[in-house]
Amino acid sequence: MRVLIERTTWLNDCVTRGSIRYVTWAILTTAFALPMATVAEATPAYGRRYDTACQTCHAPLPPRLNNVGVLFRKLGFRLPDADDQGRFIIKPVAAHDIGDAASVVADVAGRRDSEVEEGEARTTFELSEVEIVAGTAIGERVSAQAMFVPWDEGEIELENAEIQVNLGTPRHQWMARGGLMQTYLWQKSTHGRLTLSTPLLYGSRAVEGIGPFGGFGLGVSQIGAEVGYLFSSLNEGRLRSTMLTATVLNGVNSEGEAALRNTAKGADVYLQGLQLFGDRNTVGGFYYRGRSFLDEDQDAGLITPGKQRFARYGVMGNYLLLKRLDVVAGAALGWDRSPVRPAEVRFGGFFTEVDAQLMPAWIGVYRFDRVDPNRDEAGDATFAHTVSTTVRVDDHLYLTGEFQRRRLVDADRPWAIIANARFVF
Amino acid sequence: MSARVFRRIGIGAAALAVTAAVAIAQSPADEARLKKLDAGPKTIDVSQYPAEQQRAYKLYQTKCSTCHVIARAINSEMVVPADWERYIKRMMYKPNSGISSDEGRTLYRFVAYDASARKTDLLRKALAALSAADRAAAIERIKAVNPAFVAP
Repeated sequence: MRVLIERTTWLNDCVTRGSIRYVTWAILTTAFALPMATVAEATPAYGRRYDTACQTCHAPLPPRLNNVGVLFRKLGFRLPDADDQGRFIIKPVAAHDIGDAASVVADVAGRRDSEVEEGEARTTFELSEVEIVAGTAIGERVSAQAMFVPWDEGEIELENAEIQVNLGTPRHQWMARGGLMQTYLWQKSTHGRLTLSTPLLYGSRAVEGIGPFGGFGLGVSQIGAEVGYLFSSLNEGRLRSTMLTATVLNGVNSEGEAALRNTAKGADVYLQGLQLFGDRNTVGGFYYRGRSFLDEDQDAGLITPGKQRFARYGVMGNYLLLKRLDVVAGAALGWDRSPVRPAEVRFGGFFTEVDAQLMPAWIGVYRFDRVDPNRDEAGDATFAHTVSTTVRVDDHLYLTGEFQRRRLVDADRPWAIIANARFVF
Repeated sequence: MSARVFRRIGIGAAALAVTAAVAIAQSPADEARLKKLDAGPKTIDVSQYPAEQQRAYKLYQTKCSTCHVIARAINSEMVVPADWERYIKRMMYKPNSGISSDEGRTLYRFVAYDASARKTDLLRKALAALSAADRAAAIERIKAVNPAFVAP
C-alpha cells in the first residue's frame, strides 16, 4: 500500500493521504465481516410492511430480485400469494406506518482507480449517495412510487415518481403507469451504485456516445406512459408469469439524460416481453426506438443540428444452474443515425455473468462485458472484467468489494478497486 | 438552486406525502400478536428429541425462516395437528416457497411432535376445546408422531 501511495499523483482536493486508510479500513471490514455473516431477522421498508423477510423478493441478496419480487413490483406493490387451496391470489396490503412505506439507502464508498487521467491514479472516499425510496399500493388498484435523492453533488434529484393502475383478476392483470418511470422491465442483474454493477449493455449509460450525442442506456429513468398485460399462474408453489409492455417516452436529451419534453417533438417507443419461470429464471426481449435533438450550440457549431435517431433491441435472461449458482446473460444490437458523420453506426454488445451464493448471506459475482459502440470500426469496443463479492451483515448493512478491469480503445487497461458499505433502513 | 430543482423537490415531497399518508391510514389487527411471537425464544432444545426430529429441526430452521423470523414458528400458539397441516400446505403453496411435498411432511411431523413435547399444556387445552370426534382424531395423529404423548 505504501508503494501505491508513493507512486500516485494525487489530484487536487478530492484526494487525501488519509483516504487510502479509509479504503484499507473498508476492505478489511469487508474481509473480517465475511465469516461473521448471519441470516438477519430485521427487515426494512417493504419487508416491514408485508411482514416478510427480504428473501421473499430478493435472491440471492438485495437489490437483485427473484421472480416474486419482479411480480410484486408489476402488481403495484402487492404480493403474489396462494390461498388455502393453492390458488393464485394477490395478498392484501397491510401498511403500518410511514416507516413501512419509505426506506433510506446510503452508500459509503472507498475507491482506488489505477488511471483516471493519463498517468494519474486516484483514491477517493465518499458518502456517494443517499436515496429515499417510497412506494405503496393505494387501495386495490392504484399504486405509487417515488425515489428521491436529497443530495447528489450539490443538487436535489427526483429519480423516479410514478403512478400505476392495475385492473383484472390475479391471473390476468392489465396495468398502466405514468410519470418519471423506471422503464426497465427486467430487474435481474446485480445492479447498484458501483460503476460496473450494472452490465454496461443495460446500464444508465452504454459506454460512449456517438459524436455529440451523449449516449443512451436502457437504465435511464424517463418521463412517459406504459400499458402492460401480465398473465400469472401458480401450481403447487411454482410461479409462472408472462409480462408484455408497450411504453411511450419523452426520451433522452443530447446528453443522454431524461428529457422533460421530447426534444425531437416525437416520442420514443419501448416494447418489452418477459417470461418468469422457476424460482428466479427469466427470459425476455426488448425493442427501443428513440430520437434526440442535437443542439447546434454543441461543439461550437462544428455539427449540423438535427435529430439523433437510435434503436436498441436484444434479449436477456438468467437461469439457476445449481441451487446456488446462477447464470445471467444479455445481448443487444442497434443503430444510431445522426447528422454527424458517420451518418449511421451499428451498435452491439453482450454480457455474461455468474452469480454464486457462497454462504446464505455472502455472494460472489464474475461478469464479462463487451460493448461496441460502432461495429464497423475496429478497436473501439470496451471489454470489462468485474469480480465482486457482497456480504449481508444484517438486513440494514451490506458490504461489497469489487475489482474491475477494462480494456479501452488504444489505451492501457485501467483497473479499479471499490469497497462499498450500503446502509438500508 | 434552479427552478427545475425546486420543481423536483416539490414533486418528490408530494409523492412522499401521498405514500406516507396512505401508509399511515392502515394498520393490521394482529401486529401486536406477531411482534410478541417474534420477540420470543429463537431456538428449541431438541437434545431430548428422537434422531428423526433432530434432523427435521435443521430443515425447520431453514424453511421456516425464509419469509418470517424463526421465532414466530417456535412460539406459535398453533398446536393441533390439523391446524399445522393446513398451515404448512399453505406455506408450500406460496409462490416459490421451495418446500417440496416430502419436506412438507417432514415439517408437519416435526411441528406436531414439538407441540406434543414442548407445548403440552397448550395442546391439552386446545384438545379439550375440540368436539369428541375431532379430539379423538387429533390424539390419533399426535400419537402417530409421538407415541409417548399422554392424552388428557
